[in-house]
Amino acid sequence: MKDIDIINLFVERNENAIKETKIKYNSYLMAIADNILHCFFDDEECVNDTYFKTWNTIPPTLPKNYQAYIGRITRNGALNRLREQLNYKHKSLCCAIRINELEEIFGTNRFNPENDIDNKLIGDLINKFLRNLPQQKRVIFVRRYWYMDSIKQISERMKLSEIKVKITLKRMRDELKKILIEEELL
Amino acid sequence: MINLLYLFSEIEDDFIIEADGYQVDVNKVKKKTHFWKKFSVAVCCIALIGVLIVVYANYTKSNVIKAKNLAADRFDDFAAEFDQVLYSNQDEVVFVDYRGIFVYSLSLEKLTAYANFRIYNMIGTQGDNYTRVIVSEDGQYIKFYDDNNYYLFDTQKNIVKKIDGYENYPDFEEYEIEILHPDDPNSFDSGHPTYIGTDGKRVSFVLFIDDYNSITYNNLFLMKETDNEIRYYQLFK
Repeated sequence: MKDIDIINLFVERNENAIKETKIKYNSYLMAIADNILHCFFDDEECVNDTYFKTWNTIPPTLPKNYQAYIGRITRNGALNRLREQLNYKHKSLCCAIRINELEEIFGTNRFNPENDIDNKLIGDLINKFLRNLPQQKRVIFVRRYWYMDSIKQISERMKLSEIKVKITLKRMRDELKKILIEEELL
Repeated sequence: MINLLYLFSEIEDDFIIEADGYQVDVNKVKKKTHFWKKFSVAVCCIALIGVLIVVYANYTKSNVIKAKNLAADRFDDFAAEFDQVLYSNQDEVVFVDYRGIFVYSLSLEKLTAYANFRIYNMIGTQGDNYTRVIVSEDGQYIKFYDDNNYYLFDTQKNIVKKIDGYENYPDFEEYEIEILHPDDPNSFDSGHPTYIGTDGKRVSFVLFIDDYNSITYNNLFLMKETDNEIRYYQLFK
């Protein structure tokens, strides 16, 4: 079933919309959640939350790109769940390495989730930065920091050595940091 | 600290989709290799072509490729379409990945049936043009289809039949594997999914790669946990 047909089912409040989404994208969403949560049952709950939120938001929202829309809900849901687990010290920080890499760019206490203006500017700048990258580098960056893939997963996907992936990421982080400093966002 | 990860939530849809569907054109991957490496690769290629010719000859005769031929093949992508268990009883496990549907006999310790998606021009079980797979309650019949093609797989006879639709075939009850929540007192403690088999007994199946330095099918193992024992099976030996 095409994405537009699934969206139409949501608009008609037909519960088959969730069934068809599950068939078409369940593994995709589970992979996104698992890269963050690393626990089958947490992943499953997170993906179920995604179906619930999608049901509640379409309509009125009519996403231009349905796959990215539900992927984004899953990613944010998994991050929220991870944050709760960390607050209650239920789990060690599995994303620690990714966060260390981001601290290289943004510093330890720089980012405030409540500051919408700064965050919007940084988000726009990241998109501009990605637009100017060659496709291969852009995919590596998005796989690492959006999909939260491990270096090994990226090197398998991109048919590159792990060292090459690490170096590419390091250079992109340095480049992004330079741009953020130039724009006085750091 | 974790708040930093939210910064990337604003990445544009197009970049997210691009990164999901990106395939490396292997022909364009340039590798610096020494003479002996090149030489050995050339020898391997010639050997491989020979093997492929033999395999292809058998392939066209029977229209069915043997699953064990996959043993040395690598996984191209094992994130979203890693092998999933679809059906199990005490003697049999059916699992699926982007290459096809596999039936493994636990008593014979070998693959007994295989439907290869590639010969039916099917590309995988997720995303656009996905293949949908439905197993019957007794595990004997499997329907798999995409937008244009419908197939019926008899796992006992290891035969795949192309059909016009499922209207003229006896319908079967769809089997849905039952998974216990980890909080359930009947769930195993290992943290892996616990299934209730068709015989009502609890069992846990986990598919895993043994050695990540060699991501090939012959490194794909199945762990089966029951009340009494844990056993490992090498699926593509």
